[in-house]
Amino acid sequence: MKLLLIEDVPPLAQLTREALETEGFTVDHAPNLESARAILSVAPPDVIVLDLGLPDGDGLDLLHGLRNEGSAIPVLVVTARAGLNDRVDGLDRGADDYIVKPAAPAEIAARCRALLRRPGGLLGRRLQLGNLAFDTTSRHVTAAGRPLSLARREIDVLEVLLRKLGQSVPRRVIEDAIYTLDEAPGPNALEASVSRLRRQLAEAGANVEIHTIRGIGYLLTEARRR
Amino acid sequence: MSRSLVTTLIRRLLLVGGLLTLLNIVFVTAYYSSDPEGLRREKVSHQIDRLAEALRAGPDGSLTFEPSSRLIQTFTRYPEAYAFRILDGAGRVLGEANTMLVPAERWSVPNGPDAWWSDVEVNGRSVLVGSRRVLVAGEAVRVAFAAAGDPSNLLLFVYFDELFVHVIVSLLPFAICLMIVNAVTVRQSLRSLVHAADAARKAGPSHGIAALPTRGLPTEVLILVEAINDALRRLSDALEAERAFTAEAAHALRTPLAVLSARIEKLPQGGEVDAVRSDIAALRRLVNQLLSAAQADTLVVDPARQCDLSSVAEAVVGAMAPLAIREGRILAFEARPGTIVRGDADAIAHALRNLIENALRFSPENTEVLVQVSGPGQLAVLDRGPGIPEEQKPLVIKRFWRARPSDLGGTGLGLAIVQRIAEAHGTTLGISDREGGGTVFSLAFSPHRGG
Repeated sequence: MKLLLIEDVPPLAQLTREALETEGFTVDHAPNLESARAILSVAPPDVIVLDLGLPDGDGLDLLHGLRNEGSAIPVLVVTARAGLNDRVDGLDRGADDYIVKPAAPAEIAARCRALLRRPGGLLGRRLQLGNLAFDTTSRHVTAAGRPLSLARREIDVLEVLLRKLGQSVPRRVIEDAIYTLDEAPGPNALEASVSRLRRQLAEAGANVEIHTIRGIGYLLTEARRR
Repeated sequence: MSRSLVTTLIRRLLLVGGLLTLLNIVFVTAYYSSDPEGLRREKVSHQIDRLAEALRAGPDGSLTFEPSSRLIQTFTRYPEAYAFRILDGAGRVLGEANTMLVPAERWSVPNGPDAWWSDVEVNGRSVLVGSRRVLVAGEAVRVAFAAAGDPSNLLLFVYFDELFVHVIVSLLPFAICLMIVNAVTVRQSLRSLVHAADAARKAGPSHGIAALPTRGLPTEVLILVEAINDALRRLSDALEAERAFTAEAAHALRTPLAVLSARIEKLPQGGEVDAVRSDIAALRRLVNQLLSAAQADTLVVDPARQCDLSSVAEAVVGAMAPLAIREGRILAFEARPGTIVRGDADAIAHALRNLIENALRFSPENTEVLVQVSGPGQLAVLDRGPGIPEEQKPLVIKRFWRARPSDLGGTGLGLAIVQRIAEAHGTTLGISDREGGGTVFSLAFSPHRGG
């Protein structure tokens, strides 16, 4: 996957670049807005990591321009400002996610992968967590290499959770994704689906865990080592 | 000890008034004792006035003499000393008493002047006779009074009457007026000082240091208030510089810290490297919290801002749930939807993040941290941690205070930031024991009315 890293501090750019390359990304680096625009026009990346404070301007302007041109390239904003209000400012201007500087490169890589895992994202065809793999085209699920036979509803739930890996997924987001408008799910329908999915994942030996966040929704993680 | 300016003025005025009265008494006394003859005539004249006042005009215009019992008493008790006779225009007697005191011919002077005096020698005693023409209801009446000596102390009566007229009647109302005018003037001219004092009371690092209002201040006080304003300006500049420094310092630390973080990341895992990694994580938290604290200090919430408390809290709980799960804790959310409150959504979210981080840090593994939104405008974070001893409750909101000083995981700033954000919303951070163990941190926001 091609990643454009826009960062002006040389040692930080170098170290982040190395770390991202270790994580499997192909990294282009731009130290300022001008060279970033040049790279964007020649070789558009799959994901952008954008530092906001740049020598020749504000990173948010680049983001704003990109969205105005209709580009949907996912952008992870790295902000050193991290004020009480910066987060909203960045997200309002079209950032897909933000991370506060100083962030560990591993965290940056994880966030980028999460952005790419979104529907339409590059990682969208094959989603993986632990020994669990999900092919979004054939909708086959395997745990430790063995196929799992799941009902359609459970596969839908699993896909939503996999695409939002590591994030809490509100109940209504899952419901909106798995039920059509004319289906009227009972109040406990989702709970029932999740609990069936949990049981089948456990029986198949999948090392993943679906956590219930009471009052919010669900969260899929790799099982904790005990 | 301070004393009200009004009280002081009234005290002084009372003192001056007392002295003036005393002076007046001395003066009146001295005046009369220097003129005994005048005083005798004054006595007679005074009695003539009293007698004339007892004349009443009937509906047909005829006059009758209706003296009070006190007036008559003077003559019945001292028949040897006082006498009078009142004649109307036709020479008819309207009233008289003890007229034998002086020979009948001495009671009147044919075609005499309007007022006359005469000393009569009767049985070796000197009797003063005075007569005066007075108009009563349009009719001329002649009132005559005679006195031999003064056994009833009528003179004293005259003396007090003089005092009454010259001191009580003239001086007292004037003095009272003066005091009222003084009190009102002082109050009014100092009212603007009260406004200035109110403004000064509100000034502080969290509310900003604004100049005190000087409008309407008397020039005598203006000098002081302007000097205070100068001092406030210097303080405000210094405070502003210090805050800017904190924010800039925290900001400037981020980049080298990011480089350091990235370098450590490259080292192989395990042993000392893991320890350094966790130290850097702590340092990173501290830098972030320092910046947040500096920003929270200057936070001013626009009273018109409002937000849905339950959706703000839901977003924060959702975002922090992965962290809780990584740390082996459970985060749960209970809310009444649609709780609109006055407040800044970002600041409230920031406060809640800090409260949740704090609760997670002190909760035993596999226990639940509950975030609750209840009406009207109540936001609470409930944990099952060890609880906070009563004497430590006021301390936890102090900056850099830690329950365990050796614990480097926390920055000691989180709850101070929450308290500051609460203050900016006109509330405070409530800390109470939770039933069944643990602590409840609560914030009560003002519900938005009519929304």
